[in-house]
Amino acid sequence: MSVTGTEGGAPEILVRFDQVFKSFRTSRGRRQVALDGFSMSVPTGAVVGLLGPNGSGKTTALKALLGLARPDRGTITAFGRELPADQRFVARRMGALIEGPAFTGSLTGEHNLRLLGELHGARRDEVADVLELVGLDGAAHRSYSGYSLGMKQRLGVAAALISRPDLLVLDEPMNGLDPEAVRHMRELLKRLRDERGMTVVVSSHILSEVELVSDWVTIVRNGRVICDASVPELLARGTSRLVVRVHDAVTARSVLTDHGYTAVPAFGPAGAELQVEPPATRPTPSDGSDVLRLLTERDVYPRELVVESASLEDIYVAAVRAADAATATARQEPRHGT
Amino acid sequence: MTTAAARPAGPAAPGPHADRSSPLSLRRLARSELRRILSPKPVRRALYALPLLLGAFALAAYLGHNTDMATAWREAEAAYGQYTEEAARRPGTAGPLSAQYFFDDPRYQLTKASFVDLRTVLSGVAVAALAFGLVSGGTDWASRVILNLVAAEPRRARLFVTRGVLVAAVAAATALATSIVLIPLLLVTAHLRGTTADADAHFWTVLTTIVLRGALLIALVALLGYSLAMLTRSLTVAFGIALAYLVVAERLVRDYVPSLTEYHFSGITFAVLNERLLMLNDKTECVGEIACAAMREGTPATHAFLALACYLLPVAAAALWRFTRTDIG
Repeated sequence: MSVTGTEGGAPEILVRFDQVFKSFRTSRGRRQVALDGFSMSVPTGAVVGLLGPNGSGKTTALKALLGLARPDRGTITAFGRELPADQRFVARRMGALIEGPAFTGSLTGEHNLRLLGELHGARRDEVADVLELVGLDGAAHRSYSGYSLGMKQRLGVAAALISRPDLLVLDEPMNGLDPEAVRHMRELLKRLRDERGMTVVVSSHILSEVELVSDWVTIVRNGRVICDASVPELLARGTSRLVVRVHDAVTARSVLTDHGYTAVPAFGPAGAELQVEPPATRPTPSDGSDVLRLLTERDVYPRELVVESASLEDIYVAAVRAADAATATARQEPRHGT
Repeated sequence: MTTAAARPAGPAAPGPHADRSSPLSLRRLARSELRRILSPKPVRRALYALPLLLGAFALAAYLGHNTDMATAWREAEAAYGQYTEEAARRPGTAGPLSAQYFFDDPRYQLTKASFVDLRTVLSGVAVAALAFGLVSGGTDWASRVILNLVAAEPRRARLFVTRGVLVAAVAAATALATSIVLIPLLLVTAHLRGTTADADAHFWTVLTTIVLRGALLIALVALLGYSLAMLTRSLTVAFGIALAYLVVAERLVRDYVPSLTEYHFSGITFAVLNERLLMLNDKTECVGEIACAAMREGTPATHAFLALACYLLPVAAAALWRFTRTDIG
């Protein structure tokens, strides 16, 4: 990761959303809130994963950044300029794939890209280079309508790159890609960040991929950011799960619960086991040594003790549940008040 | 944003391609959009087919005429003889007509036939221009390429106007090219199968005026199609509206507002391309009730253009407003 920062260590912020609100009318005339005080920052040189369930406001936020949707309130700054007032300045520095690839079906992939490249002053050889970069050089002269979904996605990424942007905005770029193409995409994003110093904002549902490729993660729920942190920090925040395999499970459970641990008996692939969670009061995640010490002090010797780290998926689910619970509480409070 | 995790500090990575930071020039935008407008397959096919269609039209004009005056006169005299016999049997039922009345000149008379042929071809081009405008405005919405375009050129009014001007210019250029190809073909036909007598300076001035009017009409019609597609943001809906107008509006106008009949699309087209207001001609053909109404009324071209502006301006203004003031996609 090559996030650029100031002398004090704080990262340079390339894009900042500050309390952005956006709502629109549905076809039935109802007002729907898409962004509800959305605030996030994108550090320069980072790959930022934007996560959230369908309809959470990810695409609306990206559209607002690209000037396709205008916020009702709030400010968006990019490259130190305020949007949409300075959209012209920012547009020259951004490349985007938004709401899936968009091309003319009757034209070849190369022709489509050439038309778009012309808008950005790209030469033919640059078009060929970008096609090669995304692995479409062999299919450049095939009709776009004959492309597979994965090829279309890759052409969409090529279109985002044709302007040689400093900031790449990709909305669900992994959609429809086969495992090999996903890996290719992941490597491409890393290369763009490492070799070209590009900042990348990528929204995705494939959490494992976001975990592998992102430096930063922003989780969005109901138009609000509920979690915004670097990936290592986020993973450190997550509660590790301990699995203890022991002959005398009853005693082990008793020992642990006496010390405030939660120990749930389960039957795993290796037989009976206890799934252990440290007390909520514990300041740091458990590495298992505390559990081992407590058990051996009472002459209970585990056959096996496994520390399972929380994945981004666990953290995502926990964050979304916590946000939902907070929203439910907030809704109930006024009722109780009356 | 949480910034607790250690992040490496260092100099800001320079923008890898700072030379691309200059704003998108009008010239580059126009060149790119011109290529885009001409790139849809139906447009390219229509442009390739146009010379062939004109050649076929000229061939039909050539084959449809001959210089055999004797045969034509014999047929006219036979018809006249039949008429006089009939008149003798039923006195007072027919007026004093001469054989000249029954004579249908079989030759291609440039000063008369060329106007009719030019009007026929330019009317066809006008319908094609409407479709071209619809395709130019609607294809990018259908394929959602418009998202890429607006992201690249956030000055939406500039994008809208540039594309609109290009659509109109391409349509006008096509109309002029069509006329420039067609008129020499008709001239050759007149030389081989008819006469160019009376093709004096006045004739050529009138013909040029009609060609220029036709080009302007076709440009505006293309712009109307483009605006309609940009307003509806759907190629299918825009085509549906255009088709419904062409099919239904004629009947509605005729039945409910007959005084406005001549300002239907076909009436406007006829009025703009009508040579009779510029040149004395004993032969002018109108096809369809509305075109003939425009001919009877002698609707001037300025009125026709004003009527077209009444169609175009509200649609174009609404399309521009929607494009610049509302979200895209």
